[in-house]
Amino acid sequence: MVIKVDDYSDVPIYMQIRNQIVMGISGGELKPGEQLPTVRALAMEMGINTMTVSKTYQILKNEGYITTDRKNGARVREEIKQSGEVSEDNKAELRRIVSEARLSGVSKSELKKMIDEYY
Amino acid sequence: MNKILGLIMFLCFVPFLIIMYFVMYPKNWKKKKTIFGVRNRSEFLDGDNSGLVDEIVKGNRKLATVILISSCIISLAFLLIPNLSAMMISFTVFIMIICVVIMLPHIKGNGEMKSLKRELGIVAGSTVRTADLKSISASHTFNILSFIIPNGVSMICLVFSILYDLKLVDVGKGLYQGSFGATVLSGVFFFQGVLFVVLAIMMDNMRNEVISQKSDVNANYNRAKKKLWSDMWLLMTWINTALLLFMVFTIVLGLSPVTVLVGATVWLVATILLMFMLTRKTSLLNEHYESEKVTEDDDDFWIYGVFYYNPKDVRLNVEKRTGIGSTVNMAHPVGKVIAAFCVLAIVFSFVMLFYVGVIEVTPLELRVDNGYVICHQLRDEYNIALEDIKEVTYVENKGDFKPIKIAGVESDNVLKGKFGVEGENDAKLFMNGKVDSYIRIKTDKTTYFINDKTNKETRKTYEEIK
Repeated sequence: MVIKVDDYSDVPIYMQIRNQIVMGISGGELKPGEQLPTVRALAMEMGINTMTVSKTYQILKNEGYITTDRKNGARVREEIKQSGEVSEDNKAELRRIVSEARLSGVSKSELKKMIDEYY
Repeated sequence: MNKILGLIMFLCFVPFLIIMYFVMYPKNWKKKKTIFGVRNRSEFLDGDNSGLVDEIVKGNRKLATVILISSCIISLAFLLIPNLSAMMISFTVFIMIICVVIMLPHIKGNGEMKSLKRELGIVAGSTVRTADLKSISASHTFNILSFIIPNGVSMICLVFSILYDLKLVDVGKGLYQGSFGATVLSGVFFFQGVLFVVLAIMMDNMRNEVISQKSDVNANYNRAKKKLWSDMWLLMTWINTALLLFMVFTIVLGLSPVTVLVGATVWLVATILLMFMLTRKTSLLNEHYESEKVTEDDDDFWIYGVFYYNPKDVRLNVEKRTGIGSTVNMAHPVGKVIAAFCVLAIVFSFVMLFYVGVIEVTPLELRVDNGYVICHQLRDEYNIALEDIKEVTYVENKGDFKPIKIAGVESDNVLKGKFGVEGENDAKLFMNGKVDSYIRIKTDKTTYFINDKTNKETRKTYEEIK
């Protein structure tokens, strides 16, 4: 699974990596129980600070997407807890995307089609 | 002998230059990952653009070809210099200069490619960095166990050499015993073997390239590349160990310096062959795994396409843009130290070459002053107290006097330092090579063989000592 980081993006690097790992898990590119690289290895690979990767893993762990322990390192969680709800943050983000799409002249059906594609 | 040494230098220099030429100026740029240190991208392959890149590549390749051919022809002229030191010094300086000159078309090409990028609207600043999560840990090939045997043999050689020089083991002719020549040699080679292990680890931990959206392809490509390097370092360690064994045997058995020269030549040929093999295999590998799409644009961090300076990248070790192997990020604190060290090493080499040249042209002088025989060249080398002299003889003609250098300088004009002389336990020479007569001075511990600028002056000094 290829991840990309843009130094000049408004989104912080740790969040860019977090978002792509979440998308990878959701899209099936990262299987349940799959080993993730160590903090040091990923930092070296991306040419970023280890603290940044550490922060990403900490967030993913807190959100319940991965597990970490000293012996096995970081792994995708076998069973991700499904709340069945969209978080408040994501709702706000979705509202922003829908608003921008409407202002750009994107129809509701087109937007739904996109959601179907990504879901 | 001079001609043979010159020929060896020539035969090593030419293949090295040819390898450098083919690595830096490949004919088929479409199959290469970079063009003059600028990433090759799909935009360059489009109809009109392809023609523009072709023009840049052909123009600079032609220039490099002219440099290559003229360098090879000029280097032949150095073989005609009769004085060995003069030939060696001028040839070495020439090699250093050519290493820079052959890069000039590359530097020019790098500038032209960057301009072309701007003209095509490929704006630098898209600083996207990619990594393949799955291939990161799946592409290590370094195996420390395979390096243990060759380095173990080197270590045994080092221990043996120390014991030999301390005269705790008594084997061979013992001509060079106590000079610590074997110890220094073994130490250097052992250190080199350890350095190869460090370099192999560094190459194994080098960043993996993302050449495809498929993780398997990325993992296979990076694994193959790292395996190639790991094998290369291992082979290099074995070649090193073999030469060390040969050298130590040569020293212990007291064989002639020609034997050492033969060993060193075989080593050089093997190293060149290895370099050639590596270049060829790397090229084949890159052609086999063609890069799908370029998403990164870090060309502007590559100064002249050769030096990497990226303050935003925390990595020290990065893959070279031009040539094979890796280089350092000069924006990294350790990279800055390494770069400074390299500059110092280059300056030091030039200073040393100048110093050797001065030694070669400065005559050795003798004078008797204040109860001492003073041997002077640039500084006072030996001060022999007259009262310590047990025996002094004047020899008119060197004839069959054949000293073997243990430590010091041996050239056409100068023989200076510790030498092995038949029938003498500890012999020190201070002789102008082209002066026939010499004075033999025997003290309690050491026997000195000295002479002045001319036969007449040598005779005069002898009279003063007597």
